[in-house]
Amino acid sequence: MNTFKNLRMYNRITEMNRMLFSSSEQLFTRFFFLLLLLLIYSNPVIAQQSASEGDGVSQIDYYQITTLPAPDDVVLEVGGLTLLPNGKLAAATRRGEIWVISNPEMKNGRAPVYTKFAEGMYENLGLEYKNGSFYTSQRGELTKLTDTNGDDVTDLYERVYAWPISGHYHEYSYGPVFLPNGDMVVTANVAFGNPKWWEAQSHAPWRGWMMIVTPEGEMRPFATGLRSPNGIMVNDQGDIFYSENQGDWIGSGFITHVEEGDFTGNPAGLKWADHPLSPVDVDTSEIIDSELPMFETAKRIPAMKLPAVWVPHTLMGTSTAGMVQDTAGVIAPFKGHYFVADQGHARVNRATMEKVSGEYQGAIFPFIYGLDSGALRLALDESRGQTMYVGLTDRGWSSTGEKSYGLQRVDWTGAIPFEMKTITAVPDGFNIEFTHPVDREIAADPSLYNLTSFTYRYQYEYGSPIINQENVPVKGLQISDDGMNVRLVVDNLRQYYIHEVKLGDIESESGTPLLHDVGYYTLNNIPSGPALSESEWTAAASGSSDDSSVSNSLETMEPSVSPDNVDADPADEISEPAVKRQLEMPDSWNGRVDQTIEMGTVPGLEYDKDAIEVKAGSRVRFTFNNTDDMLHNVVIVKPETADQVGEQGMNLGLQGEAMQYVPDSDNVLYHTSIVQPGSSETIYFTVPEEPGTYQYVCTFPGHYITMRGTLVVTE
Amino acid sequence: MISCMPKTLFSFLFVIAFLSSALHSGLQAQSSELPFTEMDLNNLDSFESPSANWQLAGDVFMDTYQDQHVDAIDGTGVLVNTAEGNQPQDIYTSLDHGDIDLSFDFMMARESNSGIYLQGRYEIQLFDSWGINKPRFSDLGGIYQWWEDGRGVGGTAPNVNAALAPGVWQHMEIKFRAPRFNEQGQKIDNARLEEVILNGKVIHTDLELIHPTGGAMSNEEAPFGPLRIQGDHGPVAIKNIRYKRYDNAPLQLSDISYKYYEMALEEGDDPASIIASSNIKTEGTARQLTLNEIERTGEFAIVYEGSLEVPEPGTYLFELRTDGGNLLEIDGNLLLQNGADNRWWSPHTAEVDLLEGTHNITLTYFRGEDGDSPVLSLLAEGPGIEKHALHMSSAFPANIQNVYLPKLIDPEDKPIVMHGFMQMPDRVHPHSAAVGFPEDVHFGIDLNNGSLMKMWKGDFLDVSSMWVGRGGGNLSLNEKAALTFSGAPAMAFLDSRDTAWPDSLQENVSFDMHNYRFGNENQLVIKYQMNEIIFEDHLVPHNDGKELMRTIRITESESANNLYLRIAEGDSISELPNGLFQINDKAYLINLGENIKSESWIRSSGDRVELLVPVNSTENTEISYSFVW
Repeated sequence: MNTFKNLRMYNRITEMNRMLFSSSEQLFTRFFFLLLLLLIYSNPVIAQQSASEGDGVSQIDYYQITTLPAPDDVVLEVGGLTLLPNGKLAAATRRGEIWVISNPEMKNGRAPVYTKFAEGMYENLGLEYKNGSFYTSQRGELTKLTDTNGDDVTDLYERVYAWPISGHYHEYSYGPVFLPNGDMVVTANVAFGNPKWWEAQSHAPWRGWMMIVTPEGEMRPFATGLRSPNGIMVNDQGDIFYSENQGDWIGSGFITHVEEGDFTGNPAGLKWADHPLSPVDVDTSEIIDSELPMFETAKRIPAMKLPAVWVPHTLMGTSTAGMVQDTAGVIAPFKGHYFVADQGHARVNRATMEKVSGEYQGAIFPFIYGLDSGALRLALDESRGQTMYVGLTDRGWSSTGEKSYGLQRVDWTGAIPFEMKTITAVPDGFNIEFTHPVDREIAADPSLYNLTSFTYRYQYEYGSPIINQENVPVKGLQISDDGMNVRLVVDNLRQYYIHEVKLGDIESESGTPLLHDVGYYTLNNIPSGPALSESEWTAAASGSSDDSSVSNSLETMEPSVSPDNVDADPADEISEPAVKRQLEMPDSWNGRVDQTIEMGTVPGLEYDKDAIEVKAGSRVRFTFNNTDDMLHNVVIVKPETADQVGEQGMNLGLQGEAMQYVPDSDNVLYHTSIVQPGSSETIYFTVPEEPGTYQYVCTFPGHYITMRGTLVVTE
Repeated sequence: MISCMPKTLFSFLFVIAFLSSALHSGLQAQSSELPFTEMDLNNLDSFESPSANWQLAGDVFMDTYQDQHVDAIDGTGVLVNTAEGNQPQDIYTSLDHGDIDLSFDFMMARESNSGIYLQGRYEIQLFDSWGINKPRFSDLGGIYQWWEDGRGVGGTAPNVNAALAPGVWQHMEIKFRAPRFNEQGQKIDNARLEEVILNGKVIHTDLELIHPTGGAMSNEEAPFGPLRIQGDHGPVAIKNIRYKRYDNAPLQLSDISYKYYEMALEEGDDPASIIASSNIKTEGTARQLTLNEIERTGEFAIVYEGSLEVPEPGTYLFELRTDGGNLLEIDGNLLLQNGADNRWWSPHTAEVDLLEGTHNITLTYFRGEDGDSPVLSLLAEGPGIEKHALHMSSAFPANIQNVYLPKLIDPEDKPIVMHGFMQMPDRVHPHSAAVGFPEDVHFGIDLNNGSLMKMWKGDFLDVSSMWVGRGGGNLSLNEKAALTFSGAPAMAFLDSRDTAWPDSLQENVSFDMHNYRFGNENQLVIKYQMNEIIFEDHLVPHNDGKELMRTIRITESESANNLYLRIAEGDSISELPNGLFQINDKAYLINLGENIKSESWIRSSGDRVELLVPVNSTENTEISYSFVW
């Protein structure tokens, strides 16, 4: 993949650079290589590593990602990951195995060594180690494994607790995670049912629930409302959190703090709410499909717990997975923060939380991108520091990333990136804490802070579009004396809403640009207290927030064709030389089509044709059949612009969905809209007159890396 | 917005549901073939002057542990070679056959040797190959060799050793195709074995028989010849001989015309009336049934009409698969009708009696928005006519059915306990494990009630539906080659010896598995608790892996005097003269440990029979028995 190739080139050139910089006589060479470096950095492929980076900083300046090589027969579809007291790394896999890995840090250039500790379990999705035994959830039970004779292989498989399951393929079981008192938390995925095949259903007690299991095997059901509770975490306060995945009643993934008796959103598990053991006091009849946001229902139902941190779908990932808290400060600037893996977008995010009115709420920020496959489990190396292990698997769903599974190591270089460290709520806005003091002059410009708030529907239908989106104008700001904090005073703060905080080109005092420019804060409670008085903050320049130099979703970036006017007369479209999405055969063609092309998809985020040949100037009827189970489009672009257009599609942010993720760019020649799984779309276009190797690519965020082909235009 | 939805019903539910049930267990919603002809074994009239070593019996007993032992029991229905007398000989049918599908049950005596010759010329070896590791051509199911220049050539070993124990009934299915000759009588095609299945396992596929095997009735090959069973090398018994001969040519569709409509079907619409009121988009004639006339996307209907030339009056069977709705009419009579939600993996069959001559066939295929690529498969079978396709392969590509590659795992040097869901006739048992031993004997167990549910040999498990993609499939094994027992609890508290056995855990019983470990010599020891009783279940291969021994040992208990273990249940159970018990008409045998034999008893329960033994639930009680199969 391009990023890897460039990374190697970068490493090689850095080596050469180090050698050459030793002599001043090499000034010219130094300049030359610096130029080369700049060229590499400006390559949009490397820049893709972060959604939006300033010039001159990228992820690899701060984090090195290394893949741990493994033999072919060691299939690391990692479902559980933990470091052992002796420094080894242990991974439980979806194939029911536990592998113990020596030398995960690959000392002296030697490969890690893999020993199979256990096998024969069914789809393990968690792993802990305590007092000489492993604890792991498989589909039907919580199992304890012990090597009794010291040969590094399990001799005794003990069933701690077997929960009821029906045998449905979607009944995954996650965990365990230890509580301070030695009990274990496990969570149970729902099954699917009717009438919609994706409708969450609970076929057996405690599916869709969080359970607490004692080491002696006593189980008590704890909370319900869980749909696909892939990640479980217990923080340094002993509080339990879980991560949720988009689906019916779940507009987007989120992280929720769970207490006994909570109902967290999806009603499937309420089937068992009146079971004698159930602490949940909610009835299914109370859950009404109203298309209003979740918080409206929570107002009626005391037991309903709102998410502490929403993970906006497609913008921050698609499938929230494992979480860990960096209590030891393995990544020092983020000590105490939470790292959150995403299975769909092969990335790890970072969350911070605070308590307002006694309830957790907080923000989520990007952390690292570009992992080999779906990120599922995280393990922080507390004894060695500066290292995070990421266990990867796409679990059978397509993830961005080249591979289906694997194990990678993220090494922090020790350099502290310039980032929004935390966002906290204040009575009249937000406080942003930075990792370095800001450049006071630049940071004083309120137009560099762009806030929008939105939410999701709480509805039966799968997922939700963004709704009720409104601008949150920044009236002014106050920079702290030490330059580490910028307090924003805003209008239109709405309780419960997710607030996007998007920054412009703010630099640190030493001139370093931001590594990431966005965070999403879930404002469940607005803190009480005095607002800043006007004298304390600098007002925005007159002309107000619309002057913002930072794009937001309310500014129109003209979509080429709005999806709503599918049947509109092409002449009514926004003035452009040619219509990029023509759904009816143009009258001028007089019924003559020169070539009919039909294209579908194959599993793994690919089209079923990687090359198509057409004649210059010919008339084409092009049908895209989306035979996959994810959303896709087809965008025909000028030669060698697929990466650029694909990256732009990924960066469209909140407005991307309405634009079918097609950026407004001259490089885009023709395109379909986003096509639903199982549907087709036909467009008509005229092949460019100029022969060449054009490209077609899917610009749904993250897909462009593999989902593309060449459109060879011949004379 | 939906951006990460799991696959549609077709893609993955098919893999899980279809693979787990339809493919391996052979469950069919409706009969999909015409009936076989059964050879009458109430007399010896079907055979040519059989020699004295051949006789009819009502049943037969062969002692698993005694060489060449055979004991015929009075009656008819079973053909037995006692191999007695000075000159025991082979037996030949009066019937001569060409292309034939044949199935039969047979029983070998210990160390015995026989064979079945197709057309009297091509021998498939019948042999006691119980427990053989690497079978040769001379083992059970092998194609025997012949001699050239004084040395043996051309023998073909079976793909796997599927042999069961001497003394149990085994089953073979053969699809044989005779050699072809031109008008001058010269052979233009070899005889072939399309498929041979032994005890549920495929042992030969698409094998050319290039030469008659050793001892053929003639080395001149011919279009027809009798069935012949070897009688001079040891006892063998045969019953349930069934066959279908294929002496007629396949049916052909001719004069095909089509009408293609673009139309939309709502749920509840009657397709015939919608088609009638729709405009024809294109029409014409077609040489074959290819589906080339249709556009691949969108809703449509196509109506094909053609002629079918029927050579011989009789019952004909048609099997239709389409991705979408269909209607099949012959001579105006509606045979099949399926709605737009019909999917290609559901075959629909209909039988109809047809006279000799030309018949009109009308086939309608219509599709709504749902579903996959349009496909159509129309198969036909008739008297003397093998089931064959009336469509061209492009209408139903082979790759549509190849949705996965099996992923086989096999225990090599130590046992594997693989947790998973096990499908039983009553339901899926979700807390089960498949246990595989390196000695190639395996079993399935329900960890929630201690029930030993299945037993099989050879290949252990195909884990692809569990490990590939999103997983979630059942433990997948060759169900046709496995013994399926009961999923009901292994042990129960009975108020009296006549109390019915519970189907599931009794109300006052708590049962849980505590742990399992691997003991000495690779035996599996599972520890359970049933109320206050803690016991160990030891399972280990026995007699070189030919048998499976189970020992239940109570380790902790407050004594209960109404605890029983159900060793077996089935249609029939009886004690054999050698002290073993036969289950289900010698489908398998059980050898009870001496200390429990006297305590055990057989009882009837409705139309089922059970073998029970009381469990003296004091500590250190041990109950042992083994499966002989």
